[in-house]
Amino acid sequence: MKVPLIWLKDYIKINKNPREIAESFTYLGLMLDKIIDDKVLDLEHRMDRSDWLSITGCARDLAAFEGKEFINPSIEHPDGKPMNEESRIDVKIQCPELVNRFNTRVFKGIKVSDSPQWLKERLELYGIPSINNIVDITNFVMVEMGQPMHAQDIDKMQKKEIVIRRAKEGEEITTLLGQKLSLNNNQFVLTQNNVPTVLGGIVGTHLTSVDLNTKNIVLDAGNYDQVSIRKNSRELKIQNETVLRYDKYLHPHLAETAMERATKLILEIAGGEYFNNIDYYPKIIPLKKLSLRYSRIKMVSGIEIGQSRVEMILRTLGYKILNTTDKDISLEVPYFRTDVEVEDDLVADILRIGNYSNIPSTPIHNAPPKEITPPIYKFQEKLRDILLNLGMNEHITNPLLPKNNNDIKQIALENSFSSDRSALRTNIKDTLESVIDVYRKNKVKDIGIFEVGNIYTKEKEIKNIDSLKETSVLTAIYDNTELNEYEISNKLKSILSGIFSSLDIKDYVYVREGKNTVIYVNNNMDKERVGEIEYNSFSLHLEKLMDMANYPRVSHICTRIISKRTEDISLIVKLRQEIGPIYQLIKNYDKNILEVEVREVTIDENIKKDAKLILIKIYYEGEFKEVKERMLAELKDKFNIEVRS
Amino acid sequence: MNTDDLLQKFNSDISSAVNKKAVDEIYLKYFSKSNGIITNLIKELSSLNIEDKKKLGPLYNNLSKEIKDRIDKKREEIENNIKNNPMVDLTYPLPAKKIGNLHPTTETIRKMNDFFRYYGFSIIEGQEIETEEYNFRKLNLPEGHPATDLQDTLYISQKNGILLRTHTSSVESRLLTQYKPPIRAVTPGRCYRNETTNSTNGAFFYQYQGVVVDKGINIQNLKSTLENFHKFLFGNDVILRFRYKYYPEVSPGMGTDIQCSFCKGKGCSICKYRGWVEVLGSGMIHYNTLKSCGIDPEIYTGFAFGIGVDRLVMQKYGIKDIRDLYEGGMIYL
Repeated sequence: MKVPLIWLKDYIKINKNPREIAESFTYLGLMLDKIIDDKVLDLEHRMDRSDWLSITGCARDLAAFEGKEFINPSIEHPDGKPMNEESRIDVKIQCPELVNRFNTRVFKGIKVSDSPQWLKERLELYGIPSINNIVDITNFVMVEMGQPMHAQDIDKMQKKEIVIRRAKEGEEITTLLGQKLSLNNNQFVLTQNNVPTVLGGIVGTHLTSVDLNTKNIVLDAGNYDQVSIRKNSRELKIQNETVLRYDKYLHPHLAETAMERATKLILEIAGGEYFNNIDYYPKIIPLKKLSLRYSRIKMVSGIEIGQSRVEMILRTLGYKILNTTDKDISLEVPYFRTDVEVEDDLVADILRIGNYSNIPSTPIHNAPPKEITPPIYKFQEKLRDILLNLGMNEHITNPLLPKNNNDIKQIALENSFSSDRSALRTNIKDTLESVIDVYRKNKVKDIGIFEVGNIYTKEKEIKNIDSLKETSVLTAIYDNTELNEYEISNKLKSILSGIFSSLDIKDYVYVREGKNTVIYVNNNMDKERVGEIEYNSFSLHLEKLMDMANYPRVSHICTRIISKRTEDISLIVKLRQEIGPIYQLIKNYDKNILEVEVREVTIDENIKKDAKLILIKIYYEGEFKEVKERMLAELKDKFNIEVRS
Repeated sequence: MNTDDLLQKFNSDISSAVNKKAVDEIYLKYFSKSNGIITNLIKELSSLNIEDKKKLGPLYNNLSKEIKDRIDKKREEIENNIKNNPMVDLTYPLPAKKIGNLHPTTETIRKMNDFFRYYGFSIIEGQEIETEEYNFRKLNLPEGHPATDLQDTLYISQKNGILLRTHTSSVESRLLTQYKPPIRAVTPGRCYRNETTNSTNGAFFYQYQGVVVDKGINIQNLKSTLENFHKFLFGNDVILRFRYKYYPEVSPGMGTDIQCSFCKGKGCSICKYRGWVEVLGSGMIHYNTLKSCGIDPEIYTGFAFGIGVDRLVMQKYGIKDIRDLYEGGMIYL
């Protein structure tokens, strides 16, 4: 909101310099947005206060903050003439659900010309070019009070009527700026003789606009459905001073005050006389009544503020005090404060005008409540640390990606601006993978990256939020341009082993299922699928993994001397025989077997055709000879293995 | 064996020892408590008659002392040999053993968590897929509320009111609905908006939300918490400014700025000539929000605050474009 200081000073006598005034506004809630020039402040407007889109609204708050008087703009003017058949401009509202009030007045015998200097100066400093005195007055009152107004040349109207109706599908209008718009039934238009002259609450046309030859006008101040104007203007991508104000909630009473103010200015500046005309306002909206308890001020702020101080602040801000007791104040909220909903908003006003800097700072004295951090959060944090220790770098990637129509589990977004960001990932690798390229471009060879994040999946049909699932997943990718696939897969498996070891998970298997290799963890009788592994990446489902993990891990703590011995065995197996099941058989064969390591896999035609040689190291404790013989016999039997040594 | 023979045998043993391990073994051979040669000799003394004891006692003692001295000397010699080994040159460093790096956002969130854990806050990330009810309605944002404009929403199903959360305040309404006060929690979380990404605003970003609800909580507690938090993050010299600011889900609302560290409040290009940099939005949880979550606002009060994590991260790590953080532009060397 631009505030020309000369205009501001019409309503408050203040001697502070622009920087000081900007600071006061900042404390009040209107933060300085742009560099000050000496004449105009640009204040950042939040969405609640429709009156902060008016100079008087800003001035009223400043006056209260500075302890000065607020000077209300004058609305005194000679009385108008009663409406008669000749003066009457008929008003017909055919879409009452969109129009709360439509206040009109007819002016005759006015002289349209250049605006006086003071008016021009204020508008131009604000940023609205001067057109002629009538248009300027409507703009002036809009900026001064926050009520958009609109004047039409009666002599340009074919029929002396303003009919407000929903637009017809495909109906076209050309705006004042020459833009052609095709309308729809959600929008509404002001028409005369069934020709749209204004797109309601949004933008006017040239058809009945006021020019230097205009003598007679009908002036209107409307109050429309804010939600509809908001939606329609966004849809049409029209943003202007009118829309800016109409898409906030304005009280219909404002249309009345603004009409009086505009009447005074028109009669003063353009002369002529006015006739009362129709004021459509079928459902009067009463002003809100609230009461403010002193105890509530204390409860919210911890401060006790004297009754007279509270009353003074409320009065200066325009509240009408209805009744006071030693416990509370009953009051009426002024029409321009449509933001005030609850008692605490009044507390906010009291604290704001008192300046937040003056509120003391006191630590919380209450004892902290019981911790409710979900275990999965701590588990994710633990995993990050484990991965760091294994030399892996953490990355976070945006889970939004292009839609993939073949992925039936994918959750698509209905309204994304960008087709590159039109769905949620169903696996982390899809978004994480691209990071590898950046490393490669930087000639980093030995790259391990991971992300702890969510994947998002849906059931066939979205019925409610329960049809959609967020799953916590860890995905890691290993890349090294100097290694082959076999070497990379070994590196990756050792990272996985590191994770399992850190979580004290001993009983895990990698099982080929169709195209995928799946990671299972056994825990007593349960067999849980915890993830998938590919040659250069793996994913772990953290909720499931967490259930299987043991930490702080205990089984690696040793307080005795173990007489650990080793035994190497060489086996020749068929080329396509998976080693996983062999490894599992050996590992689980006897309780004396402590660890099993696949040391080497060789494919050598000289040893045997279509076969490979596996060297396995077994760490055991105690007696093993007899166990070994039984075990090798079973291996031969089950996997058709030839034992080398 | 007489002492001379023994000494000779020891000499040949010790001269062949080349490393610490060998010396340790020699030590055990002569002095092991169970079966050391010298240990055994001294043990045997007790069974001898008094004459022999008098004669052999000092002899064995000297022998034992001599051997121990020689072992110590040998140890020293080996130690010196290591130091003098031309291959063991400690004056040049080698590449690091590989350790991983944490993402700067995780690093920053952890730092914030450290502070709040100390003050008894739980950490709850909450869900990213949300309903209009929890993302807007319960937070005092009715349909068509102007503030919903601030956050253009990405919808999964407009018909069913399912969306990607636009802020971490949605976790606040979940928490307040799910738990009974007292509640003290922070939410580090991913949020989404339907925005065209530029260098400072992303469609995907992180927020950090805090919420406290209890009896007797007031705006002074909020101020104190934020003051301590900022001192923790930016150091004790940080200068804060508190001012009124409107947010729909709180009333009274409060904005927090820190004095620009470059110009000390005078105004410069970094702070857009404001002298202050806005860091955080906060306020007392709205009466209607408490009510809509089933908490009696006449008994309980609370505060909430929300901070944009990404800007802090970018500032601290010198990252100029948010896309580098989450779109794969950033790597670790």
